[in-house]
Amino acid sequence: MTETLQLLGSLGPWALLVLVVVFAATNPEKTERLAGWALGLFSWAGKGLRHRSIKATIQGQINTFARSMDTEVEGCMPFNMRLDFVTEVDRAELEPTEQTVIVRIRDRLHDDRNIVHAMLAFCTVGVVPQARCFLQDAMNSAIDLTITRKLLNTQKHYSALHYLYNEVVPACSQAKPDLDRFCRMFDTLDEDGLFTRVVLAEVRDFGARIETRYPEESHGVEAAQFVDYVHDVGTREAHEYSAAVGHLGRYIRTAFVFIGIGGKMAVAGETPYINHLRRLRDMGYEKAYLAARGGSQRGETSASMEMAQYVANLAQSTTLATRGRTMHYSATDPEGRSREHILIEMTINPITRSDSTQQALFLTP
Amino acid sequence: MRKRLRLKAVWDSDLEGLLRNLGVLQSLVVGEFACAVCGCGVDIGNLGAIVLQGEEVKVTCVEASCIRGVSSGEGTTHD
Repeated sequence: MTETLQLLGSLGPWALLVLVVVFAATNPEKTERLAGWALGLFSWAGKGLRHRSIKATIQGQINTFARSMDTEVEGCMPFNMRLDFVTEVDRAELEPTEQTVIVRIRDRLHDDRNIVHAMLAFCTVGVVPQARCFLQDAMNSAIDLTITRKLLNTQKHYSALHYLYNEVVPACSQAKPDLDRFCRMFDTLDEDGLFTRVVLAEVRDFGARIETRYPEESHGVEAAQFVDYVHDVGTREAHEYSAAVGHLGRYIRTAFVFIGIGGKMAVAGETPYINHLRRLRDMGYEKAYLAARGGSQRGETSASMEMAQYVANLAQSTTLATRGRTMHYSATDPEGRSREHILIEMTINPITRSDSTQQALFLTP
Repeated sequence: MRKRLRLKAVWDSDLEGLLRNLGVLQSLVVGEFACAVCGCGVDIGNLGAIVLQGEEVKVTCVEASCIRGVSSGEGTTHD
């Protein structure tokens, strides 16, 4: 670090300028946010500067968050937002069949409504866009509210959170009775670390898979049933067996494989988990998440987590499944303790003729 | 570079001018408009968003649920 600073000092202001340019080019969202903050310092100088500060701050906050979400799960928030301020509208330029929404933005630097209204309007087109038309209204609204809450939490925007909880959520829930149920489930899943990593990822894939279909009620029902399943997974007690093996729908065929019972691992090693993956394949599942928790101390890994890695590699080497994302994260367990988690996404390869021959040979006495 | 979605917005200070340009300022002042989502009365004080579709101009109240609702394509034809 000291050497870097010495090098920068010897190169002079040009090096600093190059660094700033590189940072701005690689982090346009963060740069915009910083610009908004800097302009805000001079907002007393005039309306123009204040407007530019508000615009840059809103865009910077939303776009930084959208990018981080998209880094976590690619395609769940694929766009950035740009606020286009209008003073007049030429009606001839508008598409006659398309709806144009113009959101009112307050002229004050710290108005909570600005970020909440802009984010909620953006969510309707910017979050899992490929799946939205197939989901139930209440589920779409709950996704938007949960994402907005995550944004405000990330930015530590507590007064805006207060506005969201006390005014926005009750009004939305009143209009859609199911919304409250979805919001509660998403909140629990977010706490468990499964909302973005699993729910949004699966909803995104679901949308991509049926993008060309005409939206039907059954699509929304299937997505809602999947959320119920993941919620059951997220709220089950340690070592408790889940009633459902997974969610075997028409388009979402996903199951969790839990790795965590020490005695089972000690006696049978990886065999029960590989066998379970085989069973899932035979039942028609297409995706499995290998899930394991770390030790009870903060940041402590465990044999279960190592076993999950081993099972994933073994399944891949035997062409049973293809390894996808590996997600390490901290989340609370049902007892409320923060623990390390690992979640490995496995795409189960369909059964082939050689697989069935091998199985037949194996089963022959 | 990520693709940017454009969200149209209007500053508070430009609101009256825009409504005049759309030819609805007077109607809004005298309270002829209702929220396109919840149906409550809307004037300049509690206007949250303006919705344009063809020749029709609709508005929503300041409730975030209504702004979200109309952005997602909900909304009746109150005008």
